[in-house]
Amino acid sequence: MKNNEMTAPLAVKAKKKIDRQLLGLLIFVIAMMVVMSFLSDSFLSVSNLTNVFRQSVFIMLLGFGMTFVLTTGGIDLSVGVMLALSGGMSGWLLSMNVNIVPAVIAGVLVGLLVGAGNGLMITKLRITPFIATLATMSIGRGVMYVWTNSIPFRNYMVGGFRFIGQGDIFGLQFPIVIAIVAFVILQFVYRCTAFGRHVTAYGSNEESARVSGINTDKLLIKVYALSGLMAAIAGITLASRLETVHPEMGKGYELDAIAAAIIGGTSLSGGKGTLVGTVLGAFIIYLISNALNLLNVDPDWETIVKGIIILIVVAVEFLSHRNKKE
Amino acid sequence: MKKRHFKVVGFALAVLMILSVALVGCGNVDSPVQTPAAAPDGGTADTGTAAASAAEGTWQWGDPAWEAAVRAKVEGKTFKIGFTPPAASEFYDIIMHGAYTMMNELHDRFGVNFEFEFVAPSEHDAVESQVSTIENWATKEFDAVLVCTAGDFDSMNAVYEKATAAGTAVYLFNMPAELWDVDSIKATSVISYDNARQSGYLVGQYAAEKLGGEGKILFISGNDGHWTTSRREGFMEAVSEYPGLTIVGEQRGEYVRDAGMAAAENLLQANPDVDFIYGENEEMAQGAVQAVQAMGLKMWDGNEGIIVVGADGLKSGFEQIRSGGLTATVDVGSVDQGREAIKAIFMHELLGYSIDKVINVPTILVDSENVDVPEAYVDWALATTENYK
Repeated sequence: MKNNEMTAPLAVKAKKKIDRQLLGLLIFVIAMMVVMSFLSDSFLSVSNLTNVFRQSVFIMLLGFGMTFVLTTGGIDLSVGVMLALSGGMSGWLLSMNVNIVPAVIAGVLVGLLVGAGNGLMITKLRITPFIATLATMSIGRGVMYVWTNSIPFRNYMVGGFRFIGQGDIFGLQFPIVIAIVAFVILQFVYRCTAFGRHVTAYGSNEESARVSGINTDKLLIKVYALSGLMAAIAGITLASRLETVHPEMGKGYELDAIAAAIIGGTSLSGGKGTLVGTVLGAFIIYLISNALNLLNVDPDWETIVKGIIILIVVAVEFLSHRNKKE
Repeated sequence: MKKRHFKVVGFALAVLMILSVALVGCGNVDSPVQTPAAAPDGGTADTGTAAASAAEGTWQWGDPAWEAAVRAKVEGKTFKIGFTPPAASEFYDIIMHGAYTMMNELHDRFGVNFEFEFVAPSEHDAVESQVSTIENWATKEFDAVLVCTAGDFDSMNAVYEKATAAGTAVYLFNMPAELWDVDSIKATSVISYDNARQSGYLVGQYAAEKLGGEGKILFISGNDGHWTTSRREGFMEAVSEYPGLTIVGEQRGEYVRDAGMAAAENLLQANPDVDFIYGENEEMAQGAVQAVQAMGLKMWDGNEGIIVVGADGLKSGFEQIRSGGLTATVDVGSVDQGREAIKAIFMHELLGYSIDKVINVPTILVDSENVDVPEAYVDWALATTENYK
């Protein structure tokens, strides 16, 4: 971690905060594993933990894009809808016997274009990210209903497409491989490229970023397009995983993606973010569900417990930070 | 009740004998069964054919004199109906197509016209948006509204009374009326099925039958709400009759596939030795099937493996049952809910017959043995186009 962050000089202060938060999250995960290993025989097994990781992949991918968006000080509420539109496009084309390669490319393009559309609305029309992506979310969901006629797309599974969501490479489920590859690439982009530094700079201080010669419009359009791209990858993978695209696919995912990033230590107000934290954040959300399921906690209590644990994770970080300051 | 069973079976199997029993048993007025001859091609609801069969008097509902009398009463009238389900979905689409089939039939036979408007809220629990929809329709002087909502009777009764007072009759569909005191329901009638006895209980019985009264069960429930409450009640009642059946895990799958799959994966980690998974709707049940397969566990092959049962009666569910991707489901009579609702409105509002406060349609537990019958019925409804003006 530390080595990577050397390349982000603008975020020296933020870096320490983030490191502490990541440490806190790791301690939380480890503590949870220790406690759970006493409570349930099946929790600490490779198959269970890979399952949890696989379940969290979709939120994680959305969270990666969201981390960039949040770092600029923006927000993207349309990721769940872009996920559905992209998965829907691939599934729909496949169901019409289009070859898998153009079908997947078309799905990716849908995400990229809708994301770029968000960026254009935000930069050229000066609509706030919240409103612009809220509008996209609403329009996109409506399009899903009209397009599917409320009946899920299905019967589109072909061998190659099945592999995306259900295949294995070296014993690793392919969605996990996708998440790892995406993480490695985006971590590099975030930490080691001019684009990544501009994103952080813009989020720290919009005006000074503009004055220092960054083409901020172009930057934002790229960031929202990236979020769309990640949503598309998640959507196509999910379409393969679920073997059907429901018009409501991905509903509520935007909030989980935001939660994953925030739990990980990315700031809602911009300027700092961490993809490692997002990985942990997404993993923790599903780990909590998994633990409560294994213990067979009454489902009515599950959401309450989940909310409280998320509050604790974030609050502990905040409090420890404040105490150190004093 | 019995006569409606006859109707479905008679229609789909086109068994003449049963039809004749139904006709004798039910009298002329109440059994809109098509003739076997009309069934196969009427299945596509081709206007020409349907009109022709009406003209030839082949509709099995009353004699020519009665037909003429009804026609004289309603011909040329236009009846405005609003249809508002809690969400736009495949399930409610089937109910709506069921309504089309009956409106087409009534239009062909008696010359009555319908105006039919469909409004679904964008969020499943957006009860208040349905309230304003109903109010709008009452203001626009609709003759009747068909409502299914996540809001319970207690909270919706005010708007039902208001609409009724304004001259817009309120009919409910797909609502678990069994949970409420009949007298407290302010709608004219509830056309539905008993979620406890006709859905959840059937699944529990199926589990007992297939497992010989002994086995471990996982239960993946939907969002809390009146449907879930009632289905669970019926399921638990059936299971409790067999001490050998134990529910080893219950989690929420939110009625969607991804959450159902995640819940099943987590539960299967702790209980890989389960025999039976009940997902309260087909999306969750199919998610559970994918979880079973992904974990390398064996699905039910008729003798052994994990049995996975859902509920709804969707086209996708029937396809999965055929391909072995789902063991069984409960078809909750979606087509009939649409048909019977329109018929109830026609009989009561236009002809002045009395109707019961709660009209439950037949439901059926569907597995690979009998999937042809309900699937053909749903196919027929879905292929029907609107021809009632």
